[in-house]
Amino acid sequence: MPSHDNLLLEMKHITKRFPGVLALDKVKLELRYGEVHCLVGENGAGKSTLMKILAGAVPMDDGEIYIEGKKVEITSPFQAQQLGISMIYQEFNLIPYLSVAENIFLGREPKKGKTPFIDWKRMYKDAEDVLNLVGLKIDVRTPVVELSVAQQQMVEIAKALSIKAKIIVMDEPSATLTDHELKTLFDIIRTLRRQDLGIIYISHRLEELYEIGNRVTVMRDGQYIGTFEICDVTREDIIRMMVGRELTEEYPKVIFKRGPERLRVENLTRKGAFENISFSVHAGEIVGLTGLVGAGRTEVARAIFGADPLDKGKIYVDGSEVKIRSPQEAIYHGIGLLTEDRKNQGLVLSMTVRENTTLANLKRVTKWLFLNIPEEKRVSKKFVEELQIRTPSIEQIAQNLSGGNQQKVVLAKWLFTNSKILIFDEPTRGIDVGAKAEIFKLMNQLLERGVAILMISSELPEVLGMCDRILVMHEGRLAGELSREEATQEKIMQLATGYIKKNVA
Amino acid sequence: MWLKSWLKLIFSRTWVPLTITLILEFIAFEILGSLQGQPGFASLSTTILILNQLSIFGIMAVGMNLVIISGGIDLSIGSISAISGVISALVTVHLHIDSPIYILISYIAGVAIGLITGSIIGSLIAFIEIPPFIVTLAFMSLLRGLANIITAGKPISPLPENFLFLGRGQFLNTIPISIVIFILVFLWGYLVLNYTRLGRHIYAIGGNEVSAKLSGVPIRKTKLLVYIACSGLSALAGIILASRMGSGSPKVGIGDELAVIASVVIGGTSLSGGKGTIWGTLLGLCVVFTLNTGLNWIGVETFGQQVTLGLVILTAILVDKIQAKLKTSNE
Repeated sequence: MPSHDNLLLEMKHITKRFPGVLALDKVKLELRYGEVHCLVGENGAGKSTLMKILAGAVPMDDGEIYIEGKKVEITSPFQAQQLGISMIYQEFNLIPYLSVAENIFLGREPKKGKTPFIDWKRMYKDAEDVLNLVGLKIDVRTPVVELSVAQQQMVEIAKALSIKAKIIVMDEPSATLTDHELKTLFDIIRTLRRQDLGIIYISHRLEELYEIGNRVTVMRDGQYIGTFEICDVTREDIIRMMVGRELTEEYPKVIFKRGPERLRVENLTRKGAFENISFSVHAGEIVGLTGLVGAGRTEVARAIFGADPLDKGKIYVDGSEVKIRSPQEAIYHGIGLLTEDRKNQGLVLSMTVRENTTLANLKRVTKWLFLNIPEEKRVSKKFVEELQIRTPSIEQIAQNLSGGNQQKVVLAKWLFTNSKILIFDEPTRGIDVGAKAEIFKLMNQLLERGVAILMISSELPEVLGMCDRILVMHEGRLAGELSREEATQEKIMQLATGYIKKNVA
Repeated sequence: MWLKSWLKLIFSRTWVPLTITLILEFIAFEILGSLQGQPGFASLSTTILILNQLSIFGIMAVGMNLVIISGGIDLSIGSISAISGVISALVTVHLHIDSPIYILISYIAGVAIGLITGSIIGSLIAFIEIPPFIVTLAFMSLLRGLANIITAGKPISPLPENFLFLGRGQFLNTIPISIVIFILVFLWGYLVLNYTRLGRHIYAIGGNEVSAKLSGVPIRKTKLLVYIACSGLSALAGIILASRMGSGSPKVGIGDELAVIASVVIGGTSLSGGKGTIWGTLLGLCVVFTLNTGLNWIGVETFGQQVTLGLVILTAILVDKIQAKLKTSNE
């Protein structure tokens, strides 16, 4: 039994230069046996570069890595795997149409004796064994594509265990999980911890650190800030170290005078997704739409926006009924949708900031038959200044921006269409603490201008912090509505899990 | 280190390696030609010869460029050019009057066939959502067969003198009409891609169709227009070809789609869509057709030309990879 004082992993003086930037400056990281070590920092702090070095995906310029006291050189992902390092990325590396068992043993399939043929029986048996370790009870012959996101993550963890990983790196594992699934994940992590594995846990949700972490290492701008026992630091301490300044308010809520009704929906129904959804959103207010993942929130938003067809129901904009059969019609009626998945549904990453900004309303920069490029540049520059989008120029490709700045470009796109009703779907997912507050401040500015906001979010603190009213969905139906004053995490969860039913006013 | 910065300079923009290749081609064929006692490859007359050859393919390439940037592909262009040439020739022969007005009618008939086929192809792709590869593969075979049936497999000839204007006529007695048409088509493509909503929509759809749809980009209309444009331009190219050859043959244009797609891809347009420029396509065309003409010049026959074209495509893709590598190491 290795002593808990010995280090499982030690990374020292890790330095990495990219042309023009010092991505990592003499950073260090220690991992004990049986420890969950949290790694936090804003986007661009260098967390992922450090982990890529550990995984052998990026070579370091300087520094030393010790595993179980022995100095190692990690030059390829394969070698990292051999050393017992396993990475679980946000985007899973599973092959959708292969079965769970095939995915777990990909490239290491057990053979029948010395023949080149796969020993299927043994593979299924071994896969079941390793799935039992993570407590996932599914048929190992199921294609991965049929699994939920949480189940896929379990499969990734099972895969890591099956290669006898000693060090498991989890990059934002909770980002796509519901609260219930998160509990299961934490249970598994606790089991792994008891088996003396070391886990490096990267997350933007600081409250999770207190639930699962032993120690935390904070990074900022490629620098090592410090390592602390979780019980010794407060949430505020961590945030201050991450952003390097006092963050005045995490949720800068301003209550505006409730204006006229902008959007009202009645009995929206889409078979198999949601039923009889009715609510309204007024100018100057944020209405939260929350519930467990899969409750049908995004589906409602997509239907209002015309991206999916409705089976039944009426939509009113500024008091008059409208027919919305396509995003074009929704945009015409002043509705904008900021999708949860910015990279794949919000932006065209290969296009520039300028081109993305005007994409939803090119008519406004068209003169005669042609685009007025100087005017387009002027507009785009204006938004970059107004929203403080951090980009070297408006001709930068959207792909190269950070998550928070990408979100701002999406916002600029909808502001340019003069949207009066904005639907934010998980607006802060994958965005760091500093940029989150900026996005909320921008929401306040929008409210002041008379915009109505519908905010879909799974993050209860942000729902409670920013919304004027909160709608809770459960299995495709509205389970209830809570005012800002009466809402608590417990009440929301009770509605969201179907524990109590409340009549919608 | 100096090697790397040098490489970066060369590969930083698509046009740099292409222009270098083009210059090297002229120098190489000039030298090789001189050794065979046939100097003068690098001359104005050869350049016009190359441009004259290139113009017909170039007209198709402008359309193909739009299609590929939108994330699609069109394999039917060779067959469309054949059937349009055939129809155009047939109409002329049946009208039996050699006057400009009647010739114009026959030209219009040929282009109309292209536009109609383009609408059918585009509708199948945009509304029924069949993959472009399959739709256009089917039409490649279907139209070729039809062209052969209509003509019983034999070229329609002779054609009246006026019909030959597009293919053999010269503007101000110096520049072939086909080059003038190509320049106009090229300018049209340039304007569409850079200065119209349609162009922006094409880039957006090719870059990310889901985001484009959720930004209100009219996906179906854009796709439909792109395939109509490509087919229409291919028809125009087919008519010029028939006019140049003096016959409407159902056998022309076999394999043209390859040369055209190759030129577009060599010019830096990404087969996965969203990326590409009209200038790149022009350079790609120049590289490919200078090579063809040059190989003819030094006496390398068709088979050798096919091998060389294959090598050039591979090289272009390697260059693209190197560029991508250099870009990521930049970050």
